[in-house]
Amino acid sequence: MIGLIASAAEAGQAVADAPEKFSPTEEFEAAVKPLSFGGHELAFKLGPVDLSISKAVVYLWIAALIVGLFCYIVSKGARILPNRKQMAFESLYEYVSDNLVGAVMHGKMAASWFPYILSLFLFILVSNLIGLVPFFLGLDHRGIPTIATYAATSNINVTVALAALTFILTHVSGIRANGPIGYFKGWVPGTAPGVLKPVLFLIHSVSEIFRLVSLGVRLFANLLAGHIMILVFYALIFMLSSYAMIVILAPVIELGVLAVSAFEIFVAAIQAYIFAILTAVYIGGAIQQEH
Amino acid sequence: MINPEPGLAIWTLITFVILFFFLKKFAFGPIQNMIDQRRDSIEESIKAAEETRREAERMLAEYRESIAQAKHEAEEIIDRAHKVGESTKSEIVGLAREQAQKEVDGARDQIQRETRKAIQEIKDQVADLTILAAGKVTGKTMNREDHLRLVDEALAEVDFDQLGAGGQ
Repeated sequence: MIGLIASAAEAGQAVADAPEKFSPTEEFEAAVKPLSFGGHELAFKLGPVDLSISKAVVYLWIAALIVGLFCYIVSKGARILPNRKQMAFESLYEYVSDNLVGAVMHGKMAASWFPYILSLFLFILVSNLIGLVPFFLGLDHRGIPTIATYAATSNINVTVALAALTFILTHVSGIRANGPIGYFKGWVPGTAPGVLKPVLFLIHSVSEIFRLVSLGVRLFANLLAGHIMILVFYALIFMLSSYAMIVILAPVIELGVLAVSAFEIFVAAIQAYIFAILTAVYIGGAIQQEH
Repeated sequence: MINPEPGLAIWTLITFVILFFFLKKFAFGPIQNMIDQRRDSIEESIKAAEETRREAERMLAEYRESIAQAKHEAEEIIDRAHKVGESTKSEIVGLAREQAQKEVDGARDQIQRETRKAIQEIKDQVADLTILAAGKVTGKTMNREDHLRLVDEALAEVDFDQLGAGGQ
């Protein structure tokens, strides 16, 4: 966390030094730079892969920690007669179980895939939501507090990694349920003429890859757009030239930020929902192929 | 942000996979158990309540029936008692009437018998006295047959039936 503060303070300083060159994307570029902790840069490399602890990684950990701790505490204190916290969690749990997983899967399949889909939903939801919480990141060189918001899910590497996991699980479970030949045969309609079959197979393969891309990009783009919108609104304040304009217009801009933030809460929930239900649909479809 | 950062992708997967296994083992299992347990207990409670209600209904019906039966029986008993009383009463009354009739009849017979006996005695005494008196008056003795004939003639004029009726 201290490293996080240090890095963000640097970013804040950069912004403060050159307000007219303010670029909202800078926040996002800085998020993947290795953090430093106690003077050491937390940069690790495993062969060609850079496993440095960046702000994005810390945000992932925070999200995982919040989800894990909350679920653990609720499950530890679980009673037959639930308290409000348990009731709230159970309604979410049953909502995902009945309306999200239950809409596309049934019986044993639903029971075995439900934990994955609920984990995915909660992890993405909390990642999205903590992106809306402004964290105090320390003071810049002029003593002005630096406060920043960041969502790990606004980085394409995070969302595509999660989409790839769903992609792999989809095809692995499809092959396990139908056998490799049966599964890939199912990609082509049985009624298609023989000559067209390779073409249809190719088209389906491309569509499968685009499912992966769209799943990852949809989440990333929505989250990034929301954060950029919020930052652009703030950037407007920096662009105001006189104090009079700041006094008059800053509250209006602040209201705009409030409206966008409120909308972003909705987006955070809806995108987590979409990601989770598409995962359920893809996996369900792979296991129970339509012929 | 759109530059490929395989490290971040790997961190994402590591974080998520750890979270997934943690949640599956420590959170979702207990929660699911709790939900199942609650569902079972609610189901059981509903079943037990249904059972109790059915039992109560059955008992109520039983009680109603037994009360109705008891009422009916009581009515029957009262009815029967009435009838028994009625018949006993008429029997007793009949018997008493019969008894009284018998006694009255007996008394009447005896009175008639006594009356007839008394008349006979009177007849005899009157005949004897008449013979005696007539003998003294006429100085001659009539034989008994003549006297008896005379007495009978005299007595025929007296209505002894009246006497008998009066003695009744």
